[in-house]
Amino acid sequence: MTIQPHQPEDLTSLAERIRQNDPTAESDLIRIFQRPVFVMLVTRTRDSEAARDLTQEVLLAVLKALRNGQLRAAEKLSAFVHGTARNLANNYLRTLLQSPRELPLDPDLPLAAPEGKTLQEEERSSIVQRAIQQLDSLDRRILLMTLVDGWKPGKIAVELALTPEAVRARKSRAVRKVIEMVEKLSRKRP
Amino acid sequence: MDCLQINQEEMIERYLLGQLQESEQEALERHYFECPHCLKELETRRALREELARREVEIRAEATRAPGVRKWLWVPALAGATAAIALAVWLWPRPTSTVPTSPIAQTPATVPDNSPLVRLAHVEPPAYTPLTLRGSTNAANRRFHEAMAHYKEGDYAAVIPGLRQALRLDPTLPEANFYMGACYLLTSNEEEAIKSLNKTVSLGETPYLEDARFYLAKAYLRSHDIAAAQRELEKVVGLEGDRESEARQLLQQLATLSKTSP
Repeated sequence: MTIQPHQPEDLTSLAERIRQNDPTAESDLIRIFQRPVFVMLVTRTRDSEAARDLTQEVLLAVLKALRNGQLRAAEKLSAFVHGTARNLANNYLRTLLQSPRELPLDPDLPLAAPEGKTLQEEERSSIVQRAIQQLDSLDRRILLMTLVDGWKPGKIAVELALTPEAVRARKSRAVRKVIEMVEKLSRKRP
Repeated sequence: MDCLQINQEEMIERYLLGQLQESEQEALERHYFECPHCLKELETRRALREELARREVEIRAEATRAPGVRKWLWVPALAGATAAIALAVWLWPRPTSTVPTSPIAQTPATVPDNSPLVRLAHVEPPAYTPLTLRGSTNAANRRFHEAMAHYKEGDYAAVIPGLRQALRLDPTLPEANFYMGACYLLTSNEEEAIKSLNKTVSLGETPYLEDARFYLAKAYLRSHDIAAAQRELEKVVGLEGDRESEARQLLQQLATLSKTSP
């Protein structure tokens, strides 16, 4: 299966179809934008539950605006959805700063774990777990230091007594292996 | 912003770590809103980051359980490999007096198929997993994936024209440069293989760097440039990747070979 990019003309006609109250067009909009909006919101808010709620808000706001013909340049649908998501994310973060939520002190409470993953997310996580398991333990450490700790190759090299070039090569190869495995196993499933 | 720039500047990784400037973040988001490939890669990397964070304690514990062990794991392996090589060299048929005994001095026409150097220069086609990477948004990538359909069928000569077209569209496409080198090598065009593989190496930190150096060493071996092959193999060892032990073995075999050759 080849992934096709969203063609601008498709998105333009999608906006137009929604304005004309075509119900299948609304489903198409949700299918196309739900994932990017969620990924953007979860990256910005670092809170998957909040991101899920905000995604619904963003898509509803976009649908309302399109139904009312508020998008003047229909070819800019993607930018419009992105802008709406960014504004709602910023509002959410501002509100959070003004009235910080009380966090549970007990780390064992279920709130500590991300809940409500979609089937697709669950499947991806499970494949990624298997891929991580198959990596060399040194590669796992390099990935942890890079992707979680945010360390640069030079710092990791000192820590692990490797050269920065070796760290970069190992990291690059390990990430490629994981991505390939996800691609391969995702393709096999219906 | 395009897929290539995102890949080369590791923008997805920096995005997930919150290390992008506001303008870069905006541009990346606008891109993946329209690019299912980059969105998919972002989701995979996010899942990878989540899983690593979830297993953080376990991964760090692995390192403390076996301090210093890794460094010495290769010693028994190398000893075993050396013994095997010595045995293999001893068992290999000796060249007759009509065939030059120094493999380095031999010309391709006079090198018998079972000579040690020919065996060391033997290459297996590098693995290729067809992905949907970047092909959806970039003409060069699309051409690359089309060309690689022949690769899966083992028709390496047929891959080359398609890869050439892909490289005309984007000369810096690392996968096209690498497989171009591999295909030249598999069709016995060492001179062109060396050019393409050197080009891949010159692109710097790509997922193909280690393999490119390894196959470059093989290409030099086939061209009877043992010193250049050894240099490349030492660089492969220095990368400490998947090819490390294979490169060590080859270096060892070359050293043995040069000792046994008059």
